[in-house]
Amino acid sequence: MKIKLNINGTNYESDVEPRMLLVDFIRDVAGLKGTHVGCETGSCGSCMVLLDGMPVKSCLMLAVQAEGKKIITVEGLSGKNGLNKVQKALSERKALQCGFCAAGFSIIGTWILDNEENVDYQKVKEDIAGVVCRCSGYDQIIKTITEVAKNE
Amino acid sequence: MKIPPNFKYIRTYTLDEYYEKANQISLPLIISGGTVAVLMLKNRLIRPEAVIDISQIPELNIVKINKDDVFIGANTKLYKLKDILPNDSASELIVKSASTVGDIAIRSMGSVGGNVCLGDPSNDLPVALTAIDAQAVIGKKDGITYLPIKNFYIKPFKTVLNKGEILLGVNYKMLNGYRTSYKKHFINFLDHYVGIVAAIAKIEENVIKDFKMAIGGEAVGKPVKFDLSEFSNVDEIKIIKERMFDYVNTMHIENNRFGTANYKKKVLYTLISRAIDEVLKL
Repeated sequence: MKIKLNINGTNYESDVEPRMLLVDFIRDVAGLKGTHVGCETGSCGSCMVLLDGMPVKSCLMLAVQAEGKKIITVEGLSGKNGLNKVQKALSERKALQCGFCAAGFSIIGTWILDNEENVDYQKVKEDIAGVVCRCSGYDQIIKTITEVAKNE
Repeated sequence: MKIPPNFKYIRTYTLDEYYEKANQISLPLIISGGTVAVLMLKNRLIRPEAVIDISQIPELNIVKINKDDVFIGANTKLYKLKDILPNDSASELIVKSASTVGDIAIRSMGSVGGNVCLGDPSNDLPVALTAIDAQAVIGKKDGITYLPIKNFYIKPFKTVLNKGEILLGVNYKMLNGYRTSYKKHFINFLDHYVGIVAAIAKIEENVIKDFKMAIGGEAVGKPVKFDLSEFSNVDEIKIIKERMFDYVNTMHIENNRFGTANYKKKVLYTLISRAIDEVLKL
């Protein structure tokens, strides 16, 4: 079936099978490889994107379900001036190591920045619970997102 | 790479359209948010002839707050509940349970209808809804029926919903001045909740005016409701706990990969004990 998805402000139209997952559309049709496929069970958060402003796991969603909605991937977070505040801070503070989970933490960190009030360590810890990092101990990631949010 | 089996995808925009399509297809899978349904498809645990997407049906997307009761449409996303429900105690218990579902990304995809209809013993809302005597609002071609949530489940993953029927939403009476508690115990590597306990009680000057509790989780299979209003004094905590432990002992709890029956009973004792303490201790 023909579907048209709006990803990072660009429309991508393609004839796909209904069983195609959103993450596969993003990576293979739109060619945006920053969104990773990790556990494929909705646990690791590497495939996280923003759908109409809310974080979702694109491995647990059919591409057809996202029709008519605005999708933002990790590539869409950075603007004309390069990386956004969360991405820049995660990089500068060396909060991430191998980087496989970077897309997930950048997406959820940006969502926290835009949506949460009175952000503190505990709140960030709860919000990032859906993204798994197997290199770090999360502490530096949580501190980084908390600090960026507090400085907003 | 996990790829779902082939299926037809049908997006419905009205209830009439849904009833028509659902009756035509021999093995439909209904999705709203998708989370668990897509996961089951990916693991090929289900092979539906068609997936019917109900997320665009307006009647399922509404939340109605009346004078005494609340209706939550089946498509309502779990993350929205804390912002849209009123401040009464029944809603508080629902919000408490919904806020423990997965993480924010799962709650922003998952719907109330999905959580209620799947019949997974690990699901949160059924237990909270059972504790507050909520009703399932079931739509079918020739009308609407109301059924207490406690009677909605037949066994794990099996509800009373028949082909062509749909859960329109859930309805419950607002309760004010109650204390609420929601406890659960998770086995992380098995992605399963052994036990879930929801409790709601009204206490005035050390006197128990109303006290309801529901138990769910893998240990019990489907939510079970207990009315403990026969107890009148909060000092009877020890007796109430013993009564609940006796109930648990009479339940048929199986030894399986989630743990021995003895282990599951002990989990339930702990959760029940904590929930009772939380709602009755002043």
